[in-house]
Amino acid sequence: MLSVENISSGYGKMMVVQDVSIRVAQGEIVVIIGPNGCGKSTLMKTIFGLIRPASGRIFFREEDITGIAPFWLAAKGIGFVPQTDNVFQSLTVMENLEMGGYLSRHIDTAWVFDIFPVLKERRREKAGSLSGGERQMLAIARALMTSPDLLLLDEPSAGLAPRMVETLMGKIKEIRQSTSVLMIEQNAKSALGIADRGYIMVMGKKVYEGTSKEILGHKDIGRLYLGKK
Amino acid sequence: MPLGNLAQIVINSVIMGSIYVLIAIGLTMVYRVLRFANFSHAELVTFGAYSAYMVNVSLGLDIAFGLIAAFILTGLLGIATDVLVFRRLRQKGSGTVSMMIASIGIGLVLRQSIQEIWGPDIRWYDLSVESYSVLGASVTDIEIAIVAVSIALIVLLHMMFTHTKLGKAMRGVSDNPQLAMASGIDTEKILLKVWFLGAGLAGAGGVFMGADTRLIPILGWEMLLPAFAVVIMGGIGSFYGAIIAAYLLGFAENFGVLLLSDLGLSTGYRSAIAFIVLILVLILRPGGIMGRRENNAAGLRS
Repeated sequence: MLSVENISSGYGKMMVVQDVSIRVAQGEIVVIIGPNGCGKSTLMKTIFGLIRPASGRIFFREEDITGIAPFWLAAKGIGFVPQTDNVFQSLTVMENLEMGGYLSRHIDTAWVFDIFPVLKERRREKAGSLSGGERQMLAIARALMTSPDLLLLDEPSAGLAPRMVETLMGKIKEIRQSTSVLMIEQNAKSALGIADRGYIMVMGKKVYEGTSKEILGHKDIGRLYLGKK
Repeated sequence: MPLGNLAQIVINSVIMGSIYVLIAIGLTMVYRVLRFANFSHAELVTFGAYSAYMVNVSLGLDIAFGLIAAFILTGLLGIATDVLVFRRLRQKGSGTVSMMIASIGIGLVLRQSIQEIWGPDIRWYDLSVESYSVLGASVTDIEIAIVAVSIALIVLLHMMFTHTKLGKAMRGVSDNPQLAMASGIDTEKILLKVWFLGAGLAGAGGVFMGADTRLIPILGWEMLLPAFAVVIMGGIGSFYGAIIAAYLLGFAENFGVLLLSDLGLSTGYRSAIAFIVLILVLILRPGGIMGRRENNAAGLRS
């Protein structure tokens, strides 16, 4: 579905991502983990066309999408949830969803409200007044409105209380029935709990890839990146 | 004070507020998306006034056609300034200060061009004015039209922002341009529509100012500082704040002039009133009347 081939990307001359290749297959949940500043977010922004890569190519369903403007990618079926500023704060919950469905003729919120019932209750409120957890749910719901085939999530659990993280991961698992997911996560263990596969990035380079089971079971990785003793 | 005088001041305040509101809303709309103070907005006001002059005096048509032409032509001029200058700066990643200075430059060029074409002399529209008496105060049909059209435009804009896809997209783009892009919104396209409306409103404000007073090449320039005062007072980027602030300033100026003459001071201090009110409002509410938290400070320039 998504194939990122030898991408190097960064800001100016500084290459934050160096020669990274990753793949996401149909129906998969794939997680990228790694310490702060390892280039995860930059990689995701590059995939979504917010940063132009210095080299490498990105394919979505066999089509070369390298350097295509974000709003075209949204039309092609890729949803993106940024880590911060991921809702329209001055718009109501309902209006946020309408923005998400901007490309569709008909706005169907029923199925999104089925997944996130709390949003239905608060649909007339301004997104800026939501709690952190509700806001993340709205951010994901907004991206789901285009019925994307691939959803890119940049640290969906950032800043959430542990119980909320589990709820959110449960929701992400729920939406995989309709969309593949590529996500970046600091909460590596919770993320690997729902993911099929994972990549580990350090200092802009991909250092390991494997199934979630392999990563969770790996002695050194567990010690270095998952906080295991 | 006799009732007639009071009524006259109230009427004058409402007329002035109705003119300020159109100019300030245009200014604040562009600010909300691009996050820079567009000084050339002043000349969009002047250009609108002279476009209507062309239709009304040179072509001899009714001022209503002049108003429509002014809205459309000024809207297109607004788009042109973006396509020719601001967009290029944006794509080069220019900061707020560069954009602002560029806008001062555009303003100068436009102002001098207008003076070159129509000359520095005072001009008037060809209007047949009918005067009415209300509670001992006099009001003209033109003035009634100014207030009515302004209010109608505000209501239309409100409906657009809250009920249409385009209006919501405009709010979305100004709230969070990157997220708007991620939602499949072509932000540059929306931006051109914002320019068209914002500049068009400025042009309409110019026609009203010209109809209420006279036409000179610095017509808009004279309105720029009060317009900025309205925008800041309302809370920068706030549509509803600007509406309240525009009328507040209209009232403050007209009652202030009365106060000045009662105190035996020169009415030349009139233009200071806007700033006294502005300062008072900001002391009470530093973010403006409807101030909102700045989010995504870079706006579309990111």
